[in-house]
Amino acid sequence: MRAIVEISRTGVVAMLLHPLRSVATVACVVAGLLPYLVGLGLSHGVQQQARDSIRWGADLYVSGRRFGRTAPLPLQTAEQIQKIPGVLKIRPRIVGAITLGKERRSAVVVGLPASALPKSTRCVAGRLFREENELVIGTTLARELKLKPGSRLPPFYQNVEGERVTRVVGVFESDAPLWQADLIFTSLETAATIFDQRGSATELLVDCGPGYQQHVARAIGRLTIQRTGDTSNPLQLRVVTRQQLRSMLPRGLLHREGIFNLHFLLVFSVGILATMATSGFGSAERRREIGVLKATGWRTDEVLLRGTVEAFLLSILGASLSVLAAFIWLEWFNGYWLASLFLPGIGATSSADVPFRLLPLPVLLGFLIALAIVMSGTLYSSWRAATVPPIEALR
Amino acid sequence: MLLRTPTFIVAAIAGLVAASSAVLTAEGLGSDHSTTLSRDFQTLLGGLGLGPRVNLAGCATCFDPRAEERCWGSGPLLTGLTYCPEHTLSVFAHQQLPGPLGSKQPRARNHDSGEMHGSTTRGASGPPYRTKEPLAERVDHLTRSRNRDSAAMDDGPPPE
Repeated sequence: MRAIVEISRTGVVAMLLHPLRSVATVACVVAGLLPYLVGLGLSHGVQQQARDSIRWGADLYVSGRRFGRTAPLPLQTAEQIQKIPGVLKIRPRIVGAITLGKERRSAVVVGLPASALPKSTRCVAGRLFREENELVIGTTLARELKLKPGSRLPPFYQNVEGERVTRVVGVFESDAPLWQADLIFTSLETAATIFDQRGSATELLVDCGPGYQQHVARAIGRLTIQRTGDTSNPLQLRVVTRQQLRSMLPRGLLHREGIFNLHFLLVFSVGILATMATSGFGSAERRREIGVLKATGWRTDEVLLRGTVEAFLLSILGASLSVLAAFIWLEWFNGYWLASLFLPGIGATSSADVPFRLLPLPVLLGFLIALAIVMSGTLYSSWRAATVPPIEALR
Repeated sequence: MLLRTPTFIVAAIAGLVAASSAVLTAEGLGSDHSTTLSRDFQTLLGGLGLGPRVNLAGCATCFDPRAEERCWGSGPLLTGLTYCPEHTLSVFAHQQLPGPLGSKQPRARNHDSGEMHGSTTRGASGPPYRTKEPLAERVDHLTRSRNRDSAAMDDGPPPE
């Protein structure tokens, strides 16, 4: 046992004998692992927030369907749905896209009835809207348009009844979920005015009694909605249940993460070649070093143990540095530049906090891959040098 | 000189491993503050956002599949969804919504009336068109009724 510890100690010394080689090997490992960990960290962050979105959202989302695409609904639909047994609450909601200013900045307008809002919330700095033409906006929009609670916005939409000046009454907290970044949250009436679509909603949020979800979803599926004054074109309804959304998340994300892992496997396989070069594959210096060890009585298995310890330490060092660098990049620098690759529309420097979660399993996987890469670089060259006669190795 | 000793190197590596383990443990536990904010936000808006996009420009499905049922940006390209630039390195994007009301879903039977949901096409009025009937039988039925009508026309107008 003592002999093994002593040989392992020489493995540490081997790292120090060639500091430049060790640094280059660790840098190769970090260069491969860092984007992998950041990408999966962001993926898990978005997943976590998506789970919250499903968990705290409505039981059913009802929208219209025309020509196989999503279409808005007349508000009277809510009255028909309210009659179905098991329906507890219905909130009409407008979710629409709008562009602002000369820069054609994209934003998402969400309108909900002011009566459906909670009395207080911690995710907004300022207050929630109480009247028409009051807005709560996302952090990225607030920063780019230089808005804060109390700011007034000149008319940014067109309406046949005329446009109004709107007032910002609140800004979402930067560490609220990702989707607040470009949000304009307002009352249902103001949202309808912005889009010039009175009497319509893009969807109805339906809350059901326990155990009634499937029954209500089926009953809504049987309804056919007739728009006022338009008796020839009935509107079909599309119902999305919480269960459907829950089952969608793992299916889509596992498939996508599989592709992502595959991409990085290719990157790592290229990394093997780089690491082989930096860790001394074919290096005369390493051959001579092993030749001296063999000449002084070291056996091949002892040389390999020494190489294994060196490779293990280099890869664990690279993996630990990658975890810390990923954390610093995502937490302190808010995923500067890299987050914009993974989250489109967020920009290189985002005001909104980038969601991320570094989980042990991808790190463990990354460490094993790093170990395999470094081992293949160090062990193979050590074995080649150790299996020839010392005189050959020293030549 | 201390920096060159094996003991120092092993201690430094152990320190880095401990620090990264601490980061992973803290990340695994999650933050109460962000959980509260997330819950408040989603309760306030009734559930908004599921994908990697922060707005509806480009691909609305990437913002929230509840807003738009499928990605229309990939075009007719084979496996176009994989190459859709909005789907961001293929990591996060969702596929089409699953479940009984989606397009490729198993049909749910309505036990009250016996008709099939998601499989019936209704006109403005009239009974639902049952797709449960085999296609061959429907074609046969239509052909026979058409032949009957043609024969009736050949016979001339019905007697007064």
